[in-house]
Amino acid sequence: MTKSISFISAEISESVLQFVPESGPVSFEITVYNSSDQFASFQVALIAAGADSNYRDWYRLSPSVSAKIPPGDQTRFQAHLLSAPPVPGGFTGTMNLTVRVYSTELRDEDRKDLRLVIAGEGLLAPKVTIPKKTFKAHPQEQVDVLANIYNPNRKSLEVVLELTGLKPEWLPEGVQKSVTLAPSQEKQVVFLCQLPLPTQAPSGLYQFTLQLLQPAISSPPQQLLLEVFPKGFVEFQCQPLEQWLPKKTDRWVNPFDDEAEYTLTFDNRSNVELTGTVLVVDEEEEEARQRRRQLQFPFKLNRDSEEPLEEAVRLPAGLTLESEQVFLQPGEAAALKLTVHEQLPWLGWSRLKRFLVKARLTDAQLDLRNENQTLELHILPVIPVWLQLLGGLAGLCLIGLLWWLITYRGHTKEVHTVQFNGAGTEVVSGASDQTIRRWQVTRNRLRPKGVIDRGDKAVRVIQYRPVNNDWVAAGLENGVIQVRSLLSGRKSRLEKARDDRVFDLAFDQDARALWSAHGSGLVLKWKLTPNLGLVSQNTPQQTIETNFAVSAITLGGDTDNLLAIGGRYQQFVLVDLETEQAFNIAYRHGAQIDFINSLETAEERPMLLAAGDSQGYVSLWDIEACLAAASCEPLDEWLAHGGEAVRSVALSQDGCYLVSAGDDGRVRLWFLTRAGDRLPDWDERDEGSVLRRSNKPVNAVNIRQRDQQLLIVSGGDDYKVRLNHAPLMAGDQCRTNR
Amino acid sequence: MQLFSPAIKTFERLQASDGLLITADHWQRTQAYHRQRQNFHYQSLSQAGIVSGLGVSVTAAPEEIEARYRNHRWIRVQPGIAIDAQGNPIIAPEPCVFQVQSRCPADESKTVYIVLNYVDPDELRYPSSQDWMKETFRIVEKTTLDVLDVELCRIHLSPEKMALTNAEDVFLPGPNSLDLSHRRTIRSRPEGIVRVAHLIDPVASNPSVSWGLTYLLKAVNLLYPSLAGDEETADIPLATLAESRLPDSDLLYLSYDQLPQLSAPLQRVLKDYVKAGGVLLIAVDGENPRQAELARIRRELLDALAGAEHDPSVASVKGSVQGEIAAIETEMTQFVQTIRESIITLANQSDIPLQGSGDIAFDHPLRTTPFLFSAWPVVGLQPIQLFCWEGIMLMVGHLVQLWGPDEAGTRSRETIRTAHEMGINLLYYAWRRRQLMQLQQGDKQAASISPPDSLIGQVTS
Repeated sequence: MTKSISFISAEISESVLQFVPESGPVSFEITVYNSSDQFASFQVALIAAGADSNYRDWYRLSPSVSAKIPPGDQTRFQAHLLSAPPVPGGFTGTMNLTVRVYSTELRDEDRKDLRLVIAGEGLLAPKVTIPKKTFKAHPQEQVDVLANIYNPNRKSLEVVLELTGLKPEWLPEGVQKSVTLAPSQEKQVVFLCQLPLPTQAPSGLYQFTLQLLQPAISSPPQQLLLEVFPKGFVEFQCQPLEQWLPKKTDRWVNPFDDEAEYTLTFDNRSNVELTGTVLVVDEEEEEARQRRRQLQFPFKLNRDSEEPLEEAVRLPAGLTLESEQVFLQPGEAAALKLTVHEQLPWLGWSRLKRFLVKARLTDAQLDLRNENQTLELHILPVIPVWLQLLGGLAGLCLIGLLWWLITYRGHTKEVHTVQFNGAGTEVVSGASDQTIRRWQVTRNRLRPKGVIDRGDKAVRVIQYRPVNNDWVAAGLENGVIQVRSLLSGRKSRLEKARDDRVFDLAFDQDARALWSAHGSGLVLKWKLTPNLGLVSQNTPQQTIETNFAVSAITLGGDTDNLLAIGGRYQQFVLVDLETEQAFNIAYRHGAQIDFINSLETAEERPMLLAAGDSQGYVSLWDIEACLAAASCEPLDEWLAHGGEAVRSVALSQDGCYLVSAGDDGRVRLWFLTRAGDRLPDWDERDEGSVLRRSNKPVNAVNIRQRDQQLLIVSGGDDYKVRLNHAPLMAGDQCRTNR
Repeated sequence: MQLFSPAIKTFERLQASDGLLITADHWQRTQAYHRQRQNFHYQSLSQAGIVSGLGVSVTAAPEEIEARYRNHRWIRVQPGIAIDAQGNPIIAPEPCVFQVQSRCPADESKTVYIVLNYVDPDELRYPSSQDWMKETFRIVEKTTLDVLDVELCRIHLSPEKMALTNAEDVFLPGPNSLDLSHRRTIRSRPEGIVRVAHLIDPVASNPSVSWGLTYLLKAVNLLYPSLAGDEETADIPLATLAESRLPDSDLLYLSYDQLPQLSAPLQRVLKDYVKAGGVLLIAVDGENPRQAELARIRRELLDALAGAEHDPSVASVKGSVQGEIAAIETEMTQFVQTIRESIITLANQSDIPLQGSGDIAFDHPLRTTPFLFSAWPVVGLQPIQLFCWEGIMLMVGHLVQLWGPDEAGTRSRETIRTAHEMGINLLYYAWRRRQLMQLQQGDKQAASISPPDSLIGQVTS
């Protein structure tokens, strides 16, 4: 096979091709004949004189390869000219275009020429080269985007470049640049990009393009990339830092629970989209947990940093966060609401709770300012403190009262009788509560010395045994006279008849006999001999019968030879015990309900007798004179208690002082003259000196003069036994005359 | 897929008489007459395909090729015989190597076809001195197939690698390997090709329907070879129906659920389609739990009734069971009736008057051709229900799900075959109706396909 025989013959449909770049591609047809004697496939290439052979995209062939065709067969190729062949410096005019047809199997080729006429200016696109296509910067930095533009044409060229894709504000010198290039000149164009504050330049990748606007030759835009780094900070703020619960205090009772609200603000002053989260820890719980952990892992202190995270995800009880996290755009501030709901304690001072608020940013390495803050919550009690104090005080009082009630050692019912001992150092009292109590006289008051006896009947009257004061005789409601030794505690009963109420008792001076007055009208004399001891007796030594209920007796006369008896109808009888003669004293008559309630004589003046009756009169009598005369008049007589009944009277030993007690609740002290009547020139002659004021009747009274003062003891329906002091009257004639 | 039909052109033959001067022209035309008569016959009765041989394999570049062109993209075509659609014989007497030139653009995949074309020696440039010419062929690398191409293989190119390989799994060839599975062998010509389009809702597409239709069309080729099924069903999104012309299809499958989405322009398109001979198959193929439940209960009651037929003890309850069945059937009938009425209403709106109740008579083609049906096939527990008003068919029952492969593997062969046969009756009816309608439509005869320019579909750069 020699070279002279061509295996390939190609035919071209056009010999001259007119090409206008602006009006689109032109085509021509190439027909290739297989002139060989074997199957073959063919390929076609176009070659433009002077064009860069590396560029193949200025034309397109269809089909790109021939089929494998038999000898004599043909393949038709369509060639499409898309742009002017890339001749350096641009080209207009007529050029030669060579069509090269070759076959791999035949190892042969055929070339056909045609003339290509290129109309127009034939400008070539300026060459834009960008030395650096990726930029990295922080906000507020300046970025210079450089582009080198080369004019490959033989004419000077006006070039306009535009940068798109970035915000126009970032380009203070504008998004377009124009430059005039001389032929084959290269110039550098600088686009100045000034990044703004972080909040206005969100971090991220920015794609932007640099494009040729002029000349209008299509050239692909250049893609560039700007990366803006994260910058800025986030400020965290809690508002307010301190709160009080309840928000509004009430005067009396605060609400049982209340809510406090804190605003947690994230202020994003960066250029990154962020998510802020908040961790709230109760400081007390946190400390407790730390302690617990130290107990658990005493040697592994470094574990502290690991564990709190997982544990503290839960909010402490009572706290609610409006949302788990807050999303922040650059430059945006967003707030979370933290609500604390607390049960108020009932009592106590205000409590302080501290919450540690830790702010966190997810996936950002930005500076978070003030990330840890402590919130304080003062919780007031439901009941205000002042009210609590008041309540406490009241409680204390209540407890005191209770204690007093429990430990009270006085009578619990009406007191009927009180009696000093001889020295005035002790008092016995008897009452309806069936007890006989003993009191010691201290400087100012009576000190309880306990119960002498607890019987089963109300005690009407008590008398000390005048000798030694070591016995006490008590007359009971049921007619029993109980004699008891204060030393041995032994007791005996004197009883003649059952249920013959004892109204009064009287010892004679040597205490060998005890007289008792009874409701049946009997006055009995009981023989008491110390050597016999305390023996219960049923038969009195002597019996005096009267025809009225005897309510008061007393012994008088120098040798206790006179017995004064008072009773119902205000009968008043004097009995001479030696002669056994009875004298009726003309006392004011009374009705059935009127009694002479009390008869007393002074120890040192046994002839002076004081009487009190239920009509309200106190009268003083000289019984000696009454015995001598057929009839006698009282030494003095007055309404002592404002017309109300006089319950008891008592004379001091020397007979200079009289005390009386009455239903008006008063205990009155009266000063007497030597003669036995009230002091005539005394201011309070009609009223007496009131020692005790009570709103209940006072039933019993007794008086002793001791240490230059008067001791007066009284007991009444107010259950109380009271001691009063009264000074002796200065310059008292009564006493000095003795 | 297209059927190649002979051109409608009368034959001319030489009237030979004594003394006639036989010229080359006379001789050539006489020869052409015989060739055309033979091709005519072939085109009328047969289809193009490979007769024998013509295997394709990847081979090393021939040694006589310049080193720079040697790569791993050479293939070898074995000798063999094929006949193209026109009936021209393609005879490759000896092996032939060919370099695949197509490159795959990055990020894409591309399919190229290696095809054979018949080359008429009259079109060749032969030296005039040569008396005898060979009928020969071309090997062409193409991106689309056209009617005269005889496919040897196809290659799915991928950008990853250049080198071609023989397929490892010949049924599922990988990229850049030779795919011979689509080669056709010669076969007889079917009566026609039935094509199906499927209206889909891109939002709630039901892939089982497309799948079922594809498998039904496959089944047509085997069960009823007189009709060829075009396996490429056209899936038409609802939204684009108004803009695009309906494809050339005999049957348009449409789900009942899509009816409310048919706008006025869509209804017009469908009306034109029906007027042109197309058949609209409206299938109630959605899930209806209530109906399924009713069908199940009815089936159970019927079974119970059948089981207790001879049990006198339950005779008393039979009446109530029958009453129950009747009530269920009434409700089911009511359901179908509602659908039927809604279809009639819609059709009347769309200006397609529907005559009659739509019931299908015992001798209706749907019951008889090509397969004879008396009762309709059973889907689930219940026979499908079919109504037909000429161009509009309503099918209640999910028959389409029986056409595709059964993933659960529980369907009996009989069920599948029955469903396919029923489907073929539907397709046949649609195809036949369209064919007959078109024959009535005068000049709207479909133009016969002419051999296209051989350049079309070739690889371009």
